[in-house]
Amino acid sequence: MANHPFNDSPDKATAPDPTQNNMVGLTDSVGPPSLMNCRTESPLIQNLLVGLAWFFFIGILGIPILYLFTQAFSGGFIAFFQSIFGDKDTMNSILLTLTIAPIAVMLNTVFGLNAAWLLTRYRFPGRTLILTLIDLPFAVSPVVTGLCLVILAGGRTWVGFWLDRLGIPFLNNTPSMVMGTMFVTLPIIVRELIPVLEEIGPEQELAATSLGANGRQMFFKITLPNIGIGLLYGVLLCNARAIGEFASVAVVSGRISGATETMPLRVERLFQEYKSPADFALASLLALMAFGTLLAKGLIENRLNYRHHSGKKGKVGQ
Amino acid sequence: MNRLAPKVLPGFGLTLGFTLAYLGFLVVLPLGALLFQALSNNPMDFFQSAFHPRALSAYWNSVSMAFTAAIFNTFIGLLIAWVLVRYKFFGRRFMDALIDLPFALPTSVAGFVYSTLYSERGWLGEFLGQNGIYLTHTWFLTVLVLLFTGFPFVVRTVQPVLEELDGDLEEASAILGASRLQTFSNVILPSILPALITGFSLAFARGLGEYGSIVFVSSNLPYRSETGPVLIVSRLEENAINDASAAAIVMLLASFGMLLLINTLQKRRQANG
Amino acid sequence: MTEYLFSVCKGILACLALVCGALALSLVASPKRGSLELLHASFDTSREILAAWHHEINESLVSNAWGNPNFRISNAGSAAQARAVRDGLPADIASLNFEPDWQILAKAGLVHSDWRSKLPGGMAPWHSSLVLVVRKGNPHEIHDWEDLLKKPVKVIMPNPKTSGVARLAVLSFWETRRRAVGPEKADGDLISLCKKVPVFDPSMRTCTTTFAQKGIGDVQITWEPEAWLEVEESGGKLELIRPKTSFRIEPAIGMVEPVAKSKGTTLLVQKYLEWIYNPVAQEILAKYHFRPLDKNVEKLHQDQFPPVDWITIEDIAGDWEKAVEIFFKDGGLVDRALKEAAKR
Repeated sequence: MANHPFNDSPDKATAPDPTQNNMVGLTDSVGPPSLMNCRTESPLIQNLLVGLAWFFFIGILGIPILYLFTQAFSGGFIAFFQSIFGDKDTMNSILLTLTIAPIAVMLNTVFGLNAAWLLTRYRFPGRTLILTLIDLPFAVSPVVTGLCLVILAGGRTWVGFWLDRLGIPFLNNTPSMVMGTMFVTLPIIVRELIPVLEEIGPEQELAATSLGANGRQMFFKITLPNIGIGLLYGVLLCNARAIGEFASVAVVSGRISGATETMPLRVERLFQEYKSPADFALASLLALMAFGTLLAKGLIENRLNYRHHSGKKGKVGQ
Repeated sequence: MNRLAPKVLPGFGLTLGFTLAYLGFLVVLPLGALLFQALSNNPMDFFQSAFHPRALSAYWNSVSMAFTAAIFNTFIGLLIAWVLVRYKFFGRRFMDALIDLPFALPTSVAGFVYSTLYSERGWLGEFLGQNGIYLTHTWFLTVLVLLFTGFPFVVRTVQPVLEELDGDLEEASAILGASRLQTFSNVILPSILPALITGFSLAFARGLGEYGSIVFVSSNLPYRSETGPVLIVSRLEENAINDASAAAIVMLLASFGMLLLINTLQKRRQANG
Repeated sequence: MTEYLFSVCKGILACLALVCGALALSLVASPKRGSLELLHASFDTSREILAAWHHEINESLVSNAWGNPNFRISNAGSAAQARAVRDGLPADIASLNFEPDWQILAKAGLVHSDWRSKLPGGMAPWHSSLVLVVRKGNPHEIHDWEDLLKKPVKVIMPNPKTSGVARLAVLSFWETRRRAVGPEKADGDLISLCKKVPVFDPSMRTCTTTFAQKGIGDVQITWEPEAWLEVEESGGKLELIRPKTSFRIEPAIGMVEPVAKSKGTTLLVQKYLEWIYNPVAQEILAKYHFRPLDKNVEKLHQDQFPPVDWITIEDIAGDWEKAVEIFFKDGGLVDRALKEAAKR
């Protein structure tokens, strides 16, 4: 969050208040004192709440992450690298994840641009239906996604029949895993772009077309530069989710070691084969990727002053 | 924008075609296959599998765990959002930046770490074990993992609303002699309540469908701690694909209902704000 | 209007081209798989033994003669593997440890009706017994199946709905109790047993993790190879207990013929299936505590494989179909036991 309008005077807020009861302070220099500080609590309660927040934060997030990295490096740095780069199947799983995620993200980016343009620049019958369909993957359990793909290609439908007839490898192979990942991450970029496009409004584009620009010129010269940062943000989140997808991929992959195992699946396998700390090492690699995502996200938010759109925010990470 | 717009801005047909084809291929086709599978059976069989006692207990487990976790998430999320917006303290930016970690970290990694951390050999499991507390594979640990995956939803929906909250009302309330607690419950809470409810439903919906983390920490006892998604996978492994798709349809309807609810809430919030 | 329709069609075509192109790209770009590849889809606990076999083949001259194939393994519960293979997992070879799972492949036309007669032992180069693993010093004094019913004992076993070995464990336990106290009481005992299970993991291996690494439960029902593996791994913290009776587990290893044919690996798979009967492969089996079919090799490791009073399916229900009907169908004995167990 870029702006925190109420906490620019920390010391004043924590100063004790000699005259009145603890609830209303008297120490601000700007406005009528009692009024400014009536928007905050006594230092005791403040400290208590901050302490409680830290307790939950550390308990839920901090300790597990710390544990993950301590275990991953418990054998030293050399063992860490060896367990990742020395294992052919682990390397293959990393390669596979780095194949699936970009493909899924790329397709969802193209789709996101199309759909967001459609939904923000035109009003037409059936628009709500499209919006609902876009949101559906947020609500559907990834397990159900996997099941759907298994049924779709599993032989009883005509899709399965033709896949089989034409000898196209789909299930237990990369295409089904890409499709599962695409389904699960489908709404992220669209949902990121819609508010951005709404906010910018169509005026510049209308001006461009009335001056004789064609569709392509308008898109690349006006629209894309305007939404660039929002798009980048969406791509980032979509990518993080695509890398970590587990359930839908687990159901359709067939789990052939070294061939259809993505990084999260490989972590589970290593764990079951007692290959500790190799399992922690790979898991920590995934965590490092997550930190990378957060870092990039922070850079976008702070340096480029991209203000994230409230309301939609909570849905984004799902 | 009015309906004349398509004539003004180019690209309506192209984007419509692309969007429809993409959604059709990726969303409608697979979900249609599921419906086809479920409906191609005798409806009696369908209901029998969908409301098989094992399936019923799985739905209940999913709902109760997700609900409990979402309630806790609402409190924890509100607390953290409040602290982040209202106070300045050491490490605030650090905390703010890391809140999003559960969004970026694969949930299976979370499940894996939690299950080892609370096992007899893990830090917390060892410590708790010395005090006679064993959490591994308990209901409690599942809820704990759902806290990890769910609390950022609440933080991130409540935070912006808290930031934009109009200070005048609070001041007025204080001038009129309300205590801080009264101001909170009568002035602040009502204005952030829609956001809280949205955050709650997002966390709840996430908990309902969660698989990657739960499969590591849950005891997966049929009839007892098996959740909906775990049941579906388990049915698939038992080669009972009709039972799996029946349960999936029920889960799908439930999540669809949640989606409509969330969207209505969001719309109302936007209309109000 | 027609202009719009035209551009809509253009959009649809662009989308389909892009998606299909990307899916095809993913197929090409996925980790390079060797030109000659053998995929062995197998039950969960065969990871180590298959890896050891493949290692031996790769290290010896055999691999050259076979054209240096790439061996790949897929592991999951027996029933899950049967489904995956039926749904198109391109496995040349399958090994399933629960007999009725082969029916799934037979029904789908993936194995011949007479495939069993092609190699000795009904295509099973190995057999094994069910054993118990307890914690150091055997504090609850568990020596045989009936000791599992002792009051405070917590039992760890996989979910009999998904794991083949768990189903065989159920059969062993029930038949042993039937011989001792009759069928009605045996039913009751099975229900009591299920009540003593705090966790039903989906497969044998996850179960072992639960018992050995997470430290849950007092006794684990498992089979010989897995038990040895975890006892050795534990460094003295676990002990192996052999009940007097056990189901004779004989997981068959067979060729998935249509797949092998379409991949052109039929001959290779035949060589592979014959190779696992040779003394070297059988010796590796014994090293991993599977009882080898080769009598000479078994004799060499006699001390490792004490005699067991074997139970067969004929003793229990006559044939597999009846056994599935009585025990494993929804509403069957196991389902009832799990339901009872949930009432705690």
